[in-house]
Amino acid sequence: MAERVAVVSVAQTKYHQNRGDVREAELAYEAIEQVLQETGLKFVEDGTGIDATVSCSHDHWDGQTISDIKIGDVAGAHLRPEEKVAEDGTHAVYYAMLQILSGHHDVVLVVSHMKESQTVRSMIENAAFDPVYQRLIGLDFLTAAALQARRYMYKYGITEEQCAKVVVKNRKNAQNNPYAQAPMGLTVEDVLRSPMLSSPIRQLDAKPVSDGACAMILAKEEKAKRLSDKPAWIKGAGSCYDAFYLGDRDLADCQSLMLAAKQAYDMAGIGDPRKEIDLAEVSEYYSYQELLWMEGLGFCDRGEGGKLIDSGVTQMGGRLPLNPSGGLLSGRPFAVGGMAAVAEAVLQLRGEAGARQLPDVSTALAHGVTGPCGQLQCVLVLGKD
Amino acid sequence: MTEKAGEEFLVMPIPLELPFQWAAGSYHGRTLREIKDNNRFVGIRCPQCKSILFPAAMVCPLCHVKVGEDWVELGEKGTVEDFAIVEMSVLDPSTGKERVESQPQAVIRLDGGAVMEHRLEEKDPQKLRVGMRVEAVFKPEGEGGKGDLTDILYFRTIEK
Ligand SMILES: [Zn+2]
Repeated sequence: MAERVAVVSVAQTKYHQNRGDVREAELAYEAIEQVLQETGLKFVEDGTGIDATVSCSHDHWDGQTISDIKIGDVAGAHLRPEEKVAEDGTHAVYYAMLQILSGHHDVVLVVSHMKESQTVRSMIENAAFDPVYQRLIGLDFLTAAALQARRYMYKYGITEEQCAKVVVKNRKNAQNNPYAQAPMGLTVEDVLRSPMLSSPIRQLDAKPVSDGACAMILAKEEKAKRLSDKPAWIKGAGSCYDAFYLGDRDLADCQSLMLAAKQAYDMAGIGDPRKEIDLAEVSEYYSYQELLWMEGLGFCDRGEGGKLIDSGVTQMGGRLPLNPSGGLLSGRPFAVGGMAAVAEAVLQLRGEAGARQLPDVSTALAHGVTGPCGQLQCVLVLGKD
Repeated sequence: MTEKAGEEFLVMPIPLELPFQWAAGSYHGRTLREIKDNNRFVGIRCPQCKSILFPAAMVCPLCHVKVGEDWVELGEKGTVEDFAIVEMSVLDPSTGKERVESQPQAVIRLDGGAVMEHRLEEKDPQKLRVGMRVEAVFKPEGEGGKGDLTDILYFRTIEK
């Protein structure tokens, strides 16, 4: 790659179940203000500041056509470029990276924001399905996830206990993350006793309703080195869609993730992710997804996700810690979720992850996903140098 | 699923209600509260460019700085800068049904320096003109102000 792109600053709000005290713009600015202050960058046109903004939000979730309209004033978009990526926040980072690699911009602000609390999740997610053919079945991302979980568990013998272990691990990790919404000391039994939502997914197998925002600054190499003494380089990036109709995929597999990961690993020159990745932040909206995504990312063989969690490899202190931040299960909003994963990867690479800091981090992976049953996947590999 | 006789096309009507709870936040919140409780318009002055943000907001879009708390009264009188007589039926956002717009929509520059969009009492096209002087008419006390822009009934003409 001729040009290199780095993340030079990241910030998050504390994630919360209901930020009824702020408008979306005010919520987004809580994160934006921090990256402006850390870098000293301004929204100026003379080539010394932020050249453009990329945001991530969703019209339907926000109940507003062109959902980025209302954050433009705080995101430097007044008579300046701002574009929205209505996928996961990782895709916004990916898009900002492409803006820089294209030579079009040098320094880009990326911001994702979401207030899940202001509407009804199931209604919004139901509307992602085909209005003529699928919606009246009542599918939403939760019930679709239950279909995927059941299929995955059936095909590979994954157990409810193994899924519950993901919840226990991530809620425990969140206890060391000041941004986490709902850290919790849990046992496998606690998870298995929580109310059933859509079998086999129980309440604690699903992420809680969450509001929050995440912001970061991406810059091309020469400027990144001036803006930060600890830039986190984007070494690899991949994105891939899967089929829309659930029946057109084997839900026990995650082919689009495997393909997105391959793109990212090839670009980063990673031959064996099990040895070369020091930590991964993956977007697990539901507990089984962390196991399935580990397989898609090549951290274990197909069907071995359950054994990997059993082995303890993915715990803090294990060879490949997963979701040291606590992940989505500890409370992170849709759209912001994967960008917070990038933020955690950056903090770990910079040695700024506080009580959850892992030793010797030189390569970190961040993963984001959107659409039912992991339809659209994004993988970013970040490194210290 | 409904099917018109003689047509092969199926149409799926889904009359969906969209429940939302949008937060006003502290700046929009005070703007709306002042209208409802005190029948007055207040904006906030940017400490850098001195322009007035109305409705009040946290960050000046021009200067990209936090505006602080320099609240200013804008008065209830203003000048019509632009108007449109809406002859077609429009969507009533509170019901989702169509309504016939009964009052012209207008852009009004308040004497205190801020601009707002609202409706005019005057419906006669012969009497409407850019530059006409107007003042806000608020919902009478006791008629249930809601903390939104329906707490202003319209702007009425104060000078020919
Ligand atoms: Zn200003």
